Amino acid sequence: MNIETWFLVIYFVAMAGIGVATLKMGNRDSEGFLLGGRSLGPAVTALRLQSSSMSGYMFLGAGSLAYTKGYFSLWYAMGDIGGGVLNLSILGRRMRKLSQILGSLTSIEYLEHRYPSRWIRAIAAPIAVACIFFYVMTQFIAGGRGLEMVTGIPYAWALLIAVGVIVFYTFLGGYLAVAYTDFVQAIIMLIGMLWILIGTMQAIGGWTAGNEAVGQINPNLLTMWGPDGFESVQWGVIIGAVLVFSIGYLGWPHVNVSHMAMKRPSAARTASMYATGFNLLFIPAPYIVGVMALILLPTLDNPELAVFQVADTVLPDFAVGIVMAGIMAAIMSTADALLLQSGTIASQDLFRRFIKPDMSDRQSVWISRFTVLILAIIGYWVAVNDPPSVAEVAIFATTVLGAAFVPAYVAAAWWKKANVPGAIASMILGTVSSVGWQLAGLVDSTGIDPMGIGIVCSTLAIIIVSLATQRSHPVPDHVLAALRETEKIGAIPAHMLAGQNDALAGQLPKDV
Amino acid sequence: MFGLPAATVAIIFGIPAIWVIYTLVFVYLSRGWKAEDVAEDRARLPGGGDESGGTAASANGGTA
Repeated sequence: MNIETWFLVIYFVAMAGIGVATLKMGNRDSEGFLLGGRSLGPAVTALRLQSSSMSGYMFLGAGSLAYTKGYFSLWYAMGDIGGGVLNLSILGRRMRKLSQILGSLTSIEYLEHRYPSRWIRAIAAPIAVACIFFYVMTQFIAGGRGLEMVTGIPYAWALLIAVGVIVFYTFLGGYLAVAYTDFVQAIIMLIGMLWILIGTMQAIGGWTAGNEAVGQINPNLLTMWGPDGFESVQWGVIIGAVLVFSIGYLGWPHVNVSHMAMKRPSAARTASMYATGFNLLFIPAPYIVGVMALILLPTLDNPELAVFQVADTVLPDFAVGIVMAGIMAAIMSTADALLLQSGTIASQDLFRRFIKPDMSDRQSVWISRFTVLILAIIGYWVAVNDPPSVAEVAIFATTVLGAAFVPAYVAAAWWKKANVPGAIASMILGTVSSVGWQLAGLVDSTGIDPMGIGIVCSTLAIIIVSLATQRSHPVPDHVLAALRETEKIGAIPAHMLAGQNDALAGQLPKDV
Repeated sequence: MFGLPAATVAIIFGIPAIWVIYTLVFVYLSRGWKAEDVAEDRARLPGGGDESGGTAASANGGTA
């Protein structure tokens, strides 16, 4: 085995060790398994929030975008830097508090409790599972490509090993295990990425010299308007690029579950500082490395490998091993967090809710694991036979999630008139409009990003339909009481806590 | 500056600066959330789990 492979094995074992240790700490009941017993502090909350949505895309997708489009690609980073603080400031405290009052354990269950109808979960869960699956697939591809580079194993075998390790991590299970491994991975990602950035700057003689060399290839690559210059700029696409990772973040169920797992509602405040600090240091780096790869590796066959290849070129051998192994472990750990969310949604939000309400926690865990296995097999099959572009798939999946869920999550915490028909109309219109816009090829012909169209449609839908149906579908009194309590700064009164008042915590959802 | 057009520099430094300012404003405006921790701690104490959630409860405080 080469030095990179040895480091990789050490990382895998260390992460598995953290997983097993935290699993024993926090797995006492459903709240312990699904939300880590709502025990996470601000640092873990912030870094899990970031790492669970980034690594595969950042190491392959971001570098690829930058290599092909130059500084234009940084529009995605401009939105992404604020995604964490926006999410924590708008949803953090309120979602944590409301989810506890309503007795919600998953981010989809939370939606059903806030908008009491089984149709909410029946619509939200499949959308979330499908989009998260596509996002997981990008992590599979990233893991496979990275492992291929680190070890020299052919892509198909590297992908199989990567998927196998990811599934193993997921089987360790439990939110606390995932949260703490994600926390460590986020730090590893940050150190690795900054190391590559510093190595890149040394290799090209500094940022200014690098930019001047890129400008000689095509001066438009240095602008924010794309390689074809200002005349070809599509403002709708730029707005969508900024929105997808900033406002879009508010609609990602696998990210929003972080709010529900916070130790205290106020943890959102400190977590916002960690999130912004982490993002400022981490997010621009892969884009800048991707641009500089144009000088270091001008004839790169696969732009998705820009960051990996630059690392291999500019770092000393021992550092390549450490950094690449760390990045690989981070990618795989992120994938396991996403797979766990998919499994949880399938077992808790679909199977237990609609098929077998009386199933035991043990059965629920096995349903979750079975789902993970099925998704992993399908993901492997697609990724090995016809691997799609990591950047395109990641952006598309997150666009649909954002368009479908942002108004539903924001209105759930902030707007007392948001009701069941409004939320259903919003999720359906957001999904259909963003997917339809993309599939119909309207992005190029109109210059408008599907994120922009989707978010406008879903926002208008929740406002118009909620207001039009206030009399026929009023928001239930117990939900209004929970919302009023959420507005207050103070401890949740004992009678409102889960298990102590059936009207508030027992949550027997009424059908529309 | 840095071999980049002025517009690129303005955007890639300006927008992150806006996010930093947003974060600082949020942290400042949410300083009242500490009262919630005090109230929670009080409610968790033996005999402290009163219906009102402690004396620190206040309607519509902070930015919440």
